[in-house]
Amino acid sequence: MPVRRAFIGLGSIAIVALTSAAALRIGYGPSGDMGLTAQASERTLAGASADLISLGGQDVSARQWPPVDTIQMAQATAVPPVQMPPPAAAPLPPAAPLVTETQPANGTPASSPAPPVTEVSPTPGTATDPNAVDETALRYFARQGDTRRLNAEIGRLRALYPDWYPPDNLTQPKPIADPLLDQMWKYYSDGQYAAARGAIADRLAHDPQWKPPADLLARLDIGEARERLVNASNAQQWDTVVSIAAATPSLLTCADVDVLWRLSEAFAKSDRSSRARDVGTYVLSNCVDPKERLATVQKAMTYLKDGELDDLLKLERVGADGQGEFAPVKGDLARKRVGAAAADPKQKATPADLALLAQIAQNATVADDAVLLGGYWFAHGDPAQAAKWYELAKTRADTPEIARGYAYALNQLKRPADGEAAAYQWRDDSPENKQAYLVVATALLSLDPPAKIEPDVLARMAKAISEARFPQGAQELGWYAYNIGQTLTAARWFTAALTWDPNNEPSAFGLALAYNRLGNKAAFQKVVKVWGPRSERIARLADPRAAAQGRRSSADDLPLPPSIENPGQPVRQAASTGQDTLVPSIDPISSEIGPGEAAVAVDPVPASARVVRTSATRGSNGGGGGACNGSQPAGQLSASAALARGWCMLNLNRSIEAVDAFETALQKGDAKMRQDAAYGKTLANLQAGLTDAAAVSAAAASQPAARSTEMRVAILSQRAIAAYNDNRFVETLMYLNELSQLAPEQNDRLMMRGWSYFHLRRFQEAKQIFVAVAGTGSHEAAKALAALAETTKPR
Amino acid sequence: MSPRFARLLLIACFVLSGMVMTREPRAAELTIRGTISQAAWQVYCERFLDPSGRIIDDANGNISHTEGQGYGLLLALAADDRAGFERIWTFTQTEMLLRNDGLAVWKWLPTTPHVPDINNASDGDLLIAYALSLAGKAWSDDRYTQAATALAEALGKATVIDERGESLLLPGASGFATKDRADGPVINLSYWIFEALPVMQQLAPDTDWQALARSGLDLLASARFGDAGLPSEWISLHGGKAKPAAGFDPVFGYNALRIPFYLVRAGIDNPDLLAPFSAAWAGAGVNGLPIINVMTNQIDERLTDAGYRMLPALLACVRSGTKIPSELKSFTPTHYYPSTLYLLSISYLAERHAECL
Repeated sequence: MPVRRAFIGLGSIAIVALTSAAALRIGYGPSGDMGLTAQASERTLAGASADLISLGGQDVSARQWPPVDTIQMAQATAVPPVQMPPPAAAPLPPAAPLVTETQPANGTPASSPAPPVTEVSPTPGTATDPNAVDETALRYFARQGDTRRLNAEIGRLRALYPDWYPPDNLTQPKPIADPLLDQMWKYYSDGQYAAARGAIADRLAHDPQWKPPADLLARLDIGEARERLVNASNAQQWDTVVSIAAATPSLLTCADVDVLWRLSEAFAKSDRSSRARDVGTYVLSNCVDPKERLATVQKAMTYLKDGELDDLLKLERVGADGQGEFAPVKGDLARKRVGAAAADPKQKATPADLALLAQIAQNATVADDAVLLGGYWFAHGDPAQAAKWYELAKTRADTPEIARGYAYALNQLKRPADGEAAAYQWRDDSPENKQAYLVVATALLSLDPPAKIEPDVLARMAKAISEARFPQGAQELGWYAYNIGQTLTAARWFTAALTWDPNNEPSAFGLALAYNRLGNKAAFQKVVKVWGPRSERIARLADPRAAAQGRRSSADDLPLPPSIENPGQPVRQAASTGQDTLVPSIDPISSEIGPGEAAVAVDPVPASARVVRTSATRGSNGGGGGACNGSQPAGQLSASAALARGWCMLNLNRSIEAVDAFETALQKGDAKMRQDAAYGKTLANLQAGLTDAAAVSAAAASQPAARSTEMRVAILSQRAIAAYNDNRFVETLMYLNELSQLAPEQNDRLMMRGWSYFHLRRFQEAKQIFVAVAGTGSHEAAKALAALAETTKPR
Repeated sequence: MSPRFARLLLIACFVLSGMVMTREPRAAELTIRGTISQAAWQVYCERFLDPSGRIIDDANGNISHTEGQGYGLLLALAADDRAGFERIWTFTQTEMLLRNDGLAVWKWLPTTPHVPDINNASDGDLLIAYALSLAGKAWSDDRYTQAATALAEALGKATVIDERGESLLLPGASGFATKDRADGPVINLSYWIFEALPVMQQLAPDTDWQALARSGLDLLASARFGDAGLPSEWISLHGGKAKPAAGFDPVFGYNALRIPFYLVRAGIDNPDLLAPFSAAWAGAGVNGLPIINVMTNQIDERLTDAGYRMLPALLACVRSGTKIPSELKSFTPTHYYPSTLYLLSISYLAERHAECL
């Protein structure tokens, strides 16, 4: 952004180009009252101080050792003292062992870690004179009610001056002798280090004789170092974290475990995990806060190796109740190890870990551990256990992962129908879930003897397999259809399988059998000719004794995969067009329209397929075999080539590709070609079930009257069927009425009309229709009349 | 983000023209202390110094950056304000001086995470080290001198490189070198703060800062683009030829207007070097400083803030003894950047050319 001149209402201040010290000092910031003498505003805390010290019931004025911070206590009694070095009294020791950058030559035994801060003995000299003890900070913390800092300060002073005891009169603090200094302590205490530094500098500028307390300066150094360490840690600057810790060993105490955690992480993230372990060992050997100890192990879990973590777990303390303090972590650890073993079948989890995790999973309300156990048992060859855990998980959550794991487990337990049901809902969530669904669906289809499969299940499996172009699935659909006697459908599925996988021998075998059973010699011979040399069992089928009597002489209207139709041509990998209508639906029950909703709703494809088949004699533009094989995008073809490909694709039921090809022809062709292309595109859209698009393309070019009528009939039929399937019966009747003006109403449309009346409770009209159709000998109409009679029977 | 701070999104290499400039005699170092009034500094602080010690760039979403911290330290020294200096330094050290290599992160946001980008900006580091060093001498405070030394050494190691025998200052430790981008190395001549380089030489003699100063002058003589013969802000030196770097506007813009400013402050008054800037800024004291596209020779915009118009006035003073116009003699803070340039100009004039004030 350009920075524009913007006058702000501060007024202009004439520049005084002073090159010497300013005559006029203007105080700045919070210390603006600096010019006042220190005594000018003595504040007392009378009345406010009485109960400031008795915090939490602790009387810190008692003569006995005050309740110092528990950390300090532990250090004073159990381990070499770890204490803050006397600030500015003695130089800090050289690099503390915990943060030396190189390993000691002999390594540091984990059981006896070096203390992170070298012991600093109390500074000798005048410091032993209790009168020399600076109690400013102590009194400040007391007045603030800052128990934690107060106790830490008492502990520090005690360590520094063994003869010193906290004064009795802390509960009645002395009047503040130095308000400016008090303000500096306040800044420090509030963490406003910049302000504290500023106040010190300001006072020094005014009063060069004044000496800031060494204690305050040292504390500021440490406070700033801590802040910088935390910022560096947040910014993942691990070397900076380590070097600050090395330069500031007094930061590394149990009083501030967060700093130790950050140091440990910095070591680990900069490839010094054994040093990270040492920091953890230090904490667990010296610090007593139960929450912090537990958190130390939890954090270490994220970056330590197992062996190093074990070193820390050995330092567990067992409570009076016999419960180890790291029990909650044990669950996390078991989870981590079982998880690793689940991902790697070569690893085995211990029975103890499995038992612990099972117990946790049973008692939990979330599914995660159950899912983990399911995954573990499945990977380790126990699908029954796996299914049990996934079942439990399903009661708590519904996720793609659970659906997938459960489906696979059921499949291994030879329950593919249940597996299909489990996998169906999430099949489109991820490639993994899609794969799981296809696998269990294929397994369900391949059961021997064939399973009884509900029509809706069969339809949805066929749709998924078709959409995924999954050859194994198509192959099994082929066999399923073959086994229940739908031989032509079987041939179509085998063709699909071979289209998606030209080397699928079982499908070629199935295709040969299917054409044999259909008695189509020509198609049968084509399969045998291509596959005979590659498959002995297919070759044997050519034995004349195996061949049935032919009833047809032409294979033209039966499907064959490109690899058989045009052997030797490079097989074009089927392009993914989203919706593939190459394959038919298996229709194990009658698709005639009846009162059963399921029967009506099976699939609209057979209807549109019928439309296409009726137009199979579309004449001169019927595609030659080669037109389907080009790999050129349709848009790059010439108008005539595009038209040829369109017809070819339409014959293969690859309607979306056909639409593309016809569209190209429609754009590039002359008037005659445009007419044909519009016609083809209409048929292709109809085949794809895109009725509205079909209506648009039907209007794209004028057509001969007969063709125009054919297209209108097809479009209206599809709309009528769609409306009927959607229970939109009024619309159904509207379309049927239109249709009746174009073509005589055959039985199937009459039945649709009758059932529409029926559903609209126009029973009289329904009866008229059913009676008329029944008159032609229709069994369906007779059954409809019976249903009508049942419905209208007086109750 | 303003064009000025789009810089660290990009990257770059370079070759040197063989021309060798006549070396300027090194002027005595500036002392800076006590060169601006307390009153002016007070007004500046009220606008741009947060009590936590960060200088706020109010035209860039109120962020802070090392450039601002460095300028803030220099101005605190100029106002002889130890308290202010302490504040700014404390913030800089605890919040920004975090990088493993000892440099500062270039940007600090008032929102979390405060440090979203770990890269540095070399001019910011240079300004901070320079200010610390001067303050250490002025106030006899060894803490500042030590910090200045550490920063100068880190800067020399991480950002001063040798490319085809020429010393270069990479704008950041990452993103600008030959290995980092196709047209690398990419440099920014406004990062050559010439007055600071002799100070760096004393602090961190392992790096040849004098060579860096020489290469800067050589580059200024060769990187002249467009009709006006001005450098673009970001210059690719790939293959040894200087040209405007890809991905940046090819402008003599916000950053680059500091180039003549830094030359003047360093006492470099070579007419050959200063002439293109004087020519481009003719009339700018009234009309505003032009941002010039060196490819199209178009003026993109004019910067009319007093802080910007002060720069041609400063140049005129140094080159011809022209007095600063009276309307520029009073300070009204506008935004961070021009206000800062203004006070730094006053500081320099007070120390070296009081006759123009």
